Amino acid sequence: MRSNYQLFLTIFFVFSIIPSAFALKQVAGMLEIELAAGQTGVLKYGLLNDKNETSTLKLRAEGDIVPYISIPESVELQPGKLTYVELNVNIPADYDISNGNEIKGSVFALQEGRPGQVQLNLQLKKGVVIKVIEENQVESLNLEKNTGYITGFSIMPFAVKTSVVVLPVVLAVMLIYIIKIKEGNKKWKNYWKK
Amino acid sequence: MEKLLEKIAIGIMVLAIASPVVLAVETHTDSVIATANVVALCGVEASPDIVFGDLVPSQTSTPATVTVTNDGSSNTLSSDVTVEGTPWNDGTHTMAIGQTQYSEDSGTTWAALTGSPVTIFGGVISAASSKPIDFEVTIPGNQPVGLYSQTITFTLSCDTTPPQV
Repeated sequence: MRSNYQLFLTIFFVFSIIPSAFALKQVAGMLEIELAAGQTGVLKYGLLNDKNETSTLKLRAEGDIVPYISIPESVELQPGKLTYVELNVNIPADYDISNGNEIKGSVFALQEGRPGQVQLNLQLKKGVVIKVIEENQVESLNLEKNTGYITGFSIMPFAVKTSVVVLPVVLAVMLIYIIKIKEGNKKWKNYWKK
Repeated sequence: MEKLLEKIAIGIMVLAIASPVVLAVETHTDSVIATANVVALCGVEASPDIVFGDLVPSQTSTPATVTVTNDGSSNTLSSDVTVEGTPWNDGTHTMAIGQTQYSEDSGTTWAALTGSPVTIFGGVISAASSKPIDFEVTIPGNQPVGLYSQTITFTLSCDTTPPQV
């Protein structure tokens, strides 16, 4: 009886009409950062919504990075615009580096399909590596960074440049003139009187 | 000797007066370095919708095809697309995730959908290449009537940066 009942009952599987999923894109490559204990840093996760509508993604982290990273719960992506989401990383001052100097995990950006009988989700996954380094390594690293990106663009005003060139010359002339006066060279004085 | 000094002093003075003029008219060539960081993108798109329709217990649905596209910008990008699902649920009853099966070879072989991500698309793949994935569901013979739903999630990762050309 029960079997017949079940046989004749129809399970109503109507998969709701959901819009085609948006195309989601992300910047390729791992997100990596080097920090010493007690330091904070920021990782930038590049996301692109490649369709003509605004899209909201839910963000979450998984893995060993979870206690050390804070991320927004969601991000709204404008159509066709590359958006960088800031992921704040904080290594506590009492972090024991003997536990390992590489903290790994992933960050996920989820675009949920329309809720209903069927939900087709698209998700992006981004690998994250936090390298915990000694304090002296950080100083060395900063030094390299500070000296490594000097470009050829000068902001010194043109007038200042001109003065720098001309001033020594004027001073040299004045010096010679004073010496000549001190020597009491009348001929020199007379020359100017003419 | 004095004459010579005289001439040198006068020459320097003339130079001092003339130099601002000369410097002012010279071509000013400060350079500005413009940088543009062209980043490699990887992306995923899945379409169209899946519609199995009405089913009775013990029935297997007609396969529904979802095309997963590697929507990246680089031909040398290594990326993976995984698929995973949740159990069917009507608010009261459930049905196992594995009742849904998927096929990567147009229905020749089928694998049960799981709650853990399984790679369906991986390695170095060409930009804009796509792959059809067939899905079907089989209703158990004793499954209570209900309006069941399931979530299927496609996840893309591309942690390998493409080589610089």
